[in-house]
Amino acid sequence: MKMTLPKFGFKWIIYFTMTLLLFPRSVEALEIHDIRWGFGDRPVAYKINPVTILIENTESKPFESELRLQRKTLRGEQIDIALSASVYIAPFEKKWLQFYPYLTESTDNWEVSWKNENGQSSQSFLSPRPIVKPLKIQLAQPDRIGKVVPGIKQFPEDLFPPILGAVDSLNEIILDHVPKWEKSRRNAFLQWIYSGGVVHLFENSNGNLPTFPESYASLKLNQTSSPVHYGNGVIYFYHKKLDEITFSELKQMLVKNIKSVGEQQAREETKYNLYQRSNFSYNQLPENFIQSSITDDEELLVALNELSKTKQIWYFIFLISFFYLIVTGPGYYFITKFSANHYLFYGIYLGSTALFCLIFLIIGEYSANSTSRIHSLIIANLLPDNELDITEWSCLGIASGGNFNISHPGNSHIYSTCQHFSKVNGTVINGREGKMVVDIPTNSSRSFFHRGKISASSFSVQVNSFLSSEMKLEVLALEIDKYFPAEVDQIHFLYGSKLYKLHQEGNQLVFRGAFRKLSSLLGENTLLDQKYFAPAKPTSFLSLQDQTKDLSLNHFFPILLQRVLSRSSRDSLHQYRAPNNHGKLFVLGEIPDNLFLNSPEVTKKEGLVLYCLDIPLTSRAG
Amino acid sequence: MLRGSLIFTSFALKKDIRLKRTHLFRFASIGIVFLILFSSWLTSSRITSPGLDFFTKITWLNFWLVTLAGIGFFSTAITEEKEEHTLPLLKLAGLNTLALLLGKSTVRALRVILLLLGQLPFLMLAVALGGITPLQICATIVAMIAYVILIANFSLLCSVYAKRSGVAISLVLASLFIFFVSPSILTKISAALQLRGYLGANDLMTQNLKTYCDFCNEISVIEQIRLILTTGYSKSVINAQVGSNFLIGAFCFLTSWMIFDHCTENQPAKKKETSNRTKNRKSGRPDQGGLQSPGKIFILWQEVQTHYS
Repeated sequence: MKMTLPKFGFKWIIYFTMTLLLFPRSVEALEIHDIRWGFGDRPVAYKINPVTILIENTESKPFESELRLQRKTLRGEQIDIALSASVYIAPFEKKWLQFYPYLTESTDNWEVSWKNENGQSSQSFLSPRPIVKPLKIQLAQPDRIGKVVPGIKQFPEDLFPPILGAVDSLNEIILDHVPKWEKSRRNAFLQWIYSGGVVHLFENSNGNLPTFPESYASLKLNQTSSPVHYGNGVIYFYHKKLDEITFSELKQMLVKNIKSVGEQQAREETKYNLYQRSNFSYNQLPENFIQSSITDDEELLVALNELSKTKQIWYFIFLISFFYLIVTGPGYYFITKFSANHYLFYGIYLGSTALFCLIFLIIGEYSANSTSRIHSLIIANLLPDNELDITEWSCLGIASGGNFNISHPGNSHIYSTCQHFSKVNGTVINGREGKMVVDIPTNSSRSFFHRGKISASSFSVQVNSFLSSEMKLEVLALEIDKYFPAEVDQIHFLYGSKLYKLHQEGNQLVFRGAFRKLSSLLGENTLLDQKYFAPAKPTSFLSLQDQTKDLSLNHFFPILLQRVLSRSSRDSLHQYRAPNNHGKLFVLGEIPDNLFLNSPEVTKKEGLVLYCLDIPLTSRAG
Repeated sequence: MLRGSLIFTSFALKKDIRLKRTHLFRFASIGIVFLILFSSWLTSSRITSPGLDFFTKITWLNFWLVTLAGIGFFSTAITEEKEEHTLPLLKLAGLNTLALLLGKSTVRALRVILLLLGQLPFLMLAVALGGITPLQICATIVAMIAYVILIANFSLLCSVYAKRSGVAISLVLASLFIFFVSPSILTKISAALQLRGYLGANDLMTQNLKTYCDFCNEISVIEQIRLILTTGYSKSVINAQVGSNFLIGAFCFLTSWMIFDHCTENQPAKKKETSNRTKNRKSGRPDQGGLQSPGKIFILWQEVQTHYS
């Protein structure tokens, strides 16, 4: 069979076109060699995780552009907001670049894209399924292959994030050397320990415990006794080399330490413990006690979104809608039965359409936001050196739409919109001078999660008097300074397993005898209280009930407390007990202006901040 | 002449409202919009701009329905008369070309436009749900009406030109593919050729391709809807897409009018007749010589004659 020339040419045109379309990336200036999800090979769910990529510039000229990391569906549709980072890579050089996305439990398709001379290039990756358990890693020196402990992931210390919020997914670190870090990474490490991180310190190859330089002086590692407490964190010493122990021995040693703390606490459990496992009964729980897990960030954002929304008369809207539906169907049909004049029919049709348009338009205008406003919930952990570690959930309700620049005072910010299904038009730049540029349509809202660190004149307290007996606080007086917040709603002190209410008297916070069990407070979850919120049937989505007049942000205090202590009502059944030599001060108050976002468009700001301060109780004065 | 031409249109509109199926179809289409509104309201706590989400869904649904109507409904306006050999009878009834075109095609477009307008009150509720403004809703509806005018009249032109419905449908389908899909394909090919160094950014071919793609995007309802749905849209509802779609639609209508007599004076497709005869032979029915239902045609002729006189 002879192939004619025109047919042959046509086939080649199709072939050439398909080749061009299918393989457009044969020549790329940038190559991605490696991508690391989180600290191990799997990230941690419902946390901000570092995603580290190794990029090589394969051309003879420098590459300077913006790289974007974007979650996509397998069909290529965008989900959530894009993360952006500017990068400069010298010719034929490689560089590590870090993004800080908020990850959930699902496996997702991610795309790294960048602009080049000929347009846009991209490369897709599938993220591993995140884990939900606490993460333990060994920090390794990049130029030295250390002892690899099976079951424990090694993470190069030079990739350790320099931002505190990016280390949230990490619980324990194993070390046998002093990491060589610049100031930002060192600070992030120290503040991570202060916020509750655990460090296991082993002997180095010379058989000595690592000697930390002056820059780590705040850890006070010159003590000989193990463990050393630093803020909420703890450092354990082991007089062994990692090379000399097997994984099972290491596991036993680590577990023994954690267990010894647990046993010590258990021994101190007294008759005051109502919820011991042996005689525990759900009937003993308070009526409003609902067993719940820790409220996740998305649930909290949805609740804030419900608060920020304008209240609409939905029953009336649906009544009118149903009436219109009846008019469009049977209504118009009966008109044709009564009158044969088709001009009359079309007149009525257009007239009623215009009338209903007007009615619905008036309802729409009535429901619209008249002012832009923000509702925020903040946890502010007081760090050494007048710094605040901020965890914020906010919802921004906008009257007039546009592109909004969301930024906060201070540096080191990480933003996330925590959207698992919807696309968000905008870009997040994390890190120093981090910000979120987001498109918010008219009369709608945008909720976001923010982790940040700001330098502010934070308050401090001194223990004036402290007396306890049988794990119960008898006397407590704390002296406050001039930076103590002015707008304070509640003050509590956590000692052992109870929360003691404090009163402000002049420049002192004094315990007057009122207290309650922490476990009962942790059981209170406003989001599960059907007085305020209920699932909107037939979906399980949360919606506000009508009785919202008495709902204030103060109702979210137990949820904030859950988040601070990382404990839910389920955990509280097994009795939470803080270390005896430490107490925690919780101050709940209105958010001051310096903690709200910088946005002149937002005129109405409402929010609650929970300040948390760890107080060592060394003196036992009467 | 114009009054006489509009009588057939008026007759078609009158006939339309007497049909039960018209009311059922309108009720069903607006009911679907109501159900989507209800589902958007249910999920509104998880979506920060549910109104925009709802409106976007309805807009694209309407776009696809109008496009499908253009392919299957508008493009058969004249060809079905050609296939049923009823055009000579309509002419015999005293209908001129303009009356035929208005009655057969413009009425169909009007039906679709009225259906779109019927949805408008529910679309206005998107404002209450949040994320969209009344201006954006009006701009989208106007853009969609202009698109209906364009596609209805372009389909009419294809219908006048083609002898059979299948040909008309193919012509509309191919044109829509070229209009909507070719710019993105050509842009990708151009980018790929530039990436490999076969084309320069300032070459004549590149510039021509760019001009063509820009023109297609300028008059494309898809690009216009995308633009309208962006936050902060504050432009006029009358824009280049609306104007161009209306003008092209009018041009297609005038061209159809001009070529109507030329395209319909020829004998109808013989293949079709042959196939009909074969079919009838197989089914055992007597051969009707292409006129399949003389009774229907007579009734139609009688009705038209009555109204026209």
